Amino acid sequence: MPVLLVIEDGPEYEEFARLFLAERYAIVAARSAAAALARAPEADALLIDLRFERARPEDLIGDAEDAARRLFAGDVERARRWLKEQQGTLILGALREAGHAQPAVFVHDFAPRRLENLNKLYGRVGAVPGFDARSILATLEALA
Amino acid sequence: MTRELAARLAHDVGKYVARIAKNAPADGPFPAALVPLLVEDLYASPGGGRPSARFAALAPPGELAAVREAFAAIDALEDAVRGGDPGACRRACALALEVEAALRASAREAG
Amino acid sequence: MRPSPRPWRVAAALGVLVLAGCADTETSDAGPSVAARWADARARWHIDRDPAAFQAWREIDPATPEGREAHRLLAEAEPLYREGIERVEAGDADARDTFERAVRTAPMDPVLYLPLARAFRDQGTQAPDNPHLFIRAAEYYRKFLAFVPHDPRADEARAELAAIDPDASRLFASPLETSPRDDTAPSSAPALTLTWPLAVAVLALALALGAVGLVLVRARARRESLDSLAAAKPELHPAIHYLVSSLRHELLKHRIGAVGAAIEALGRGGATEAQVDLLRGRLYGGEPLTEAWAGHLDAFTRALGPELDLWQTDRRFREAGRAIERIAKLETKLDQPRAHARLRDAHATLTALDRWLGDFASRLVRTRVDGALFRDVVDAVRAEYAAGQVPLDEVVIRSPDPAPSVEVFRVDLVLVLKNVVRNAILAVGGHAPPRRIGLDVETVLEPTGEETVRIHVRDTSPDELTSEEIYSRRRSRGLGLVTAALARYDGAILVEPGEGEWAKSVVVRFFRADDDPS
Repeated sequence: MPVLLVIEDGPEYEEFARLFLAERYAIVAARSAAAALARAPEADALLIDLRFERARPEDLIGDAEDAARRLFAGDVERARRWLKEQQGTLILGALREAGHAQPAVFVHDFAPRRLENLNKLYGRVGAVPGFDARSILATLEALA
Repeated sequence: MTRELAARLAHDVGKYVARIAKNAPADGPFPAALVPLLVEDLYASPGGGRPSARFAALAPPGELAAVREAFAAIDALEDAVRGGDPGACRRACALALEVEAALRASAREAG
Repeated sequence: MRPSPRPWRVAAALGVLVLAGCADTETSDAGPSVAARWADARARWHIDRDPAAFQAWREIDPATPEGREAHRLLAEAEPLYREGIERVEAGDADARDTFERAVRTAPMDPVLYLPLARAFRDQGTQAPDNPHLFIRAAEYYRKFLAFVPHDPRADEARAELAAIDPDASRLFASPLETSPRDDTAPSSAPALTLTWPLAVAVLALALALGAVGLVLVRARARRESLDSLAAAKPELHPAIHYLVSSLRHELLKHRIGAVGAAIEALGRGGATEAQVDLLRGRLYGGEPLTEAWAGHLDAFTRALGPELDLWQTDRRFREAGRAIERIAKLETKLDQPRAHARLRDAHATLTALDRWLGDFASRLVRTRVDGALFRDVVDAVRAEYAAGQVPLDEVVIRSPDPAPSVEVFRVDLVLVLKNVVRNAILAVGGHAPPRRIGLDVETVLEPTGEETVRIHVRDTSPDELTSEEIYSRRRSRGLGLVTAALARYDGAILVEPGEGEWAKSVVVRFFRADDDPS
C-alpha cells in the first residue's frame, strides 16, 4: 500500500487521514520540517498543513531576520508569524531541495495564481479547500 | 478585517470545525464512530478552547454575524451531539459547513 | 458612517430645516408616529451605529413614554462615555469595556468626539510605536467636524487634525477657508435696507429657488447607480465595500444562499424535514426579509447620500427587491409545486446579485499599480503649495506592462504614496540640483508562492532617512499615518540605499492580489 506522509503541527490531519484515507494509503506523520525530511524517503505522497501555529519556534524553518528586513520593515515578530503561517510551503521547499518530488496536497483554499506559483517553484502541488476526503484522493491521483 | 486575521479565522476556526462534517455520510444513520471526533471539532479547537470562543476572541465586533449565529446554534446543540443524537449531529454538521464557507469567503475577500 | 460634507447636502439639510420650520404642525400630524420614530432611532444606533442617531434620539418628544426612555438612556450613557474618554486619557486598558457598556446603552453626543480624539492623540504622542492611536484620533476629529461643524472649537479641531493628517483636514476646512469670496461679499454688495414686505418677498423667492434647486439636485441625483457612483467617487470605495459586505453576509448569504440546496430539494419533492425547517427559519423567521432588505438599502442611502437610489435606478437591485417581495408572498404557499418554481427563480435572481456584488466589491478594493497611478500621485502633490514650489529637474516614472494589482483601496494607496512622494520632493527641494525623483514598481516571487509588490519612491536628496525613523519620529510629516494605513493592508514601508544616481529609495511593500489576472 502506498504511504502518505502527513505533515502538520497537531494531530488533526493524521486523525482525519486515518479515518478517511486509510483504505488507500498507509499513514505516517511528521510534526516538523526535520521530521518530514527524515520520513520523506518512505513516502509516496504528501499531505501538508499550511499554518503551523502550534509549532515550537526551534522547529520552524525560514530566516525570520531576513524576512523582517525584506518584508516587514524590521518587525521580527511579524516575520516569525509569517513563517508560521506559511510554514507548510517552506517545508515543501526544503523537501524538494532534498530531492523528494512526491505529489503534495495542501488542505487550503489557495487562489489559482498562488497554486500556479507553488507549482512553478516546486512542481506536483495540489490544493483542496477543506477536509474533503474524496477531493484529496482525487487530487493525489491526478498528480501521481 | 485584515488579510492576516481573515486567513487565521478561515484556518484556525473554519477548516477544523468542518473536518468531520465534510466527510460524514449524507444520509442513513450518523456513524457512532464519528461522534467523538465531531464533538472534538465542534467543542474543542486545535489552539485550545471552543471554536466558538476562539472565533469570538479573533473576529472583529460586529462582523461575521452569520458565523456568530451559527456558533450559537452549534453550542446549543452540544448536549444532544455529545449524546450522539443523529438529528442534532446532522444539524451541527450543516452549521459547521456554513461556518467554514462563510469564513473561507471572508478570507477570499480580504485577499 | 460619516456623511460627506458636500455643499448640496448642506443645501438639502437647510431646505429640510426651513420646510420643517414652516410646517411643523403638519409634519408632526402626518409624519410617522413617535413609536415608529423611536424604533427607527434605535435601529440607527443599535444596528447601523450611525453617529447621527444621537440627534434622532434627542428629538423624540420627552413628553411621550418613548421620549422619556430615549432621554433616560442618553443621560445614562453620557457619564459612561466621559468615563471611557478619561480612561483613554489615562491609558487604561479597561476603557474598551466602559465604551462597550456605553454603546450598548445609547449613542454618544458627537461633541464628545473632540475630547476622545484628543485623548487618542495624546496617547499616540506617548506611544510613538503605535500609529493606530493617531489614526483613531484622526477618525474622531473627522467625526467631530462632520457632525458638529459649527461648534466653537471646530477651528481648533481642524488645526489639530491638520497636524496629524493634512489631507483629511482640507476636507473639513471651514467654509470661510474654502470660499474666501464669502468674506468679501457683504462689503462689496450695495447697501440695502429690508422693509417687511420686501423681506417676505425675498424669503419667498429664496424658498422658491431653493425648492427648484433641490428638485434639480434630486433629479440629477436619481441617475446614480451603485457602480456609477463608485466609478465617480473612489473616496467612497471603503464605505461602499463595507455596505456591500454587510448586505452579502447578513442577508444574501446567511438567509438566501444558505437555503439553495433546500429550495432545489423542495422542487424535486425530496426536501427533508430539516431542510424545510432551515428554509422556513431563514426566509420567514426573525426580521421579515422585506424589512431586512429595506434596512440594508436605507443604510446605503444614509451612508452614501440620496443621489444613490438603488430602488429606482439600479436594475440589479430593482430586480432583487422584487425577488425579495415574491419570496415574502410565498410563505403560506410552500406546499404548492407552482410556488417552488417561483421560489427557485427568485432565489436565482438574488444569487446572481450576490455574485455580481462579490466581483464588484473585490474590484473596489483592488488597485493597479501602474504609471497612471504614479502620475496622479505626483500631479496631486505638485498641486500643493509647498511641494509645487520645488523646481524638479526630472520625475522618472516606470511600470511594467501588465502592472501588478494590490488589494488596497485606491484612495488609501494614493494617501500613502502622496505622503512618501511629498517627503521626497520636499527633501530634494532642500538641496542643490540635480533634484530628481523616481517612481517604479517590481514584483518578487516569495518561496511561499506569494508575490510581493514593491513600489519604489526614489530621490536624489542626501538627507538621511531610515525605516526606524519612519516608524517613530517622522509622524509630524504624515508618515505616521502612512504606517497606520499600511498596517490595515499588511503592508510595510522601508528605506533602501539608492542605486545608480539615486541617493535612496523608500519602498512601500504589499502582497500582490492573489487573483490578479495579469
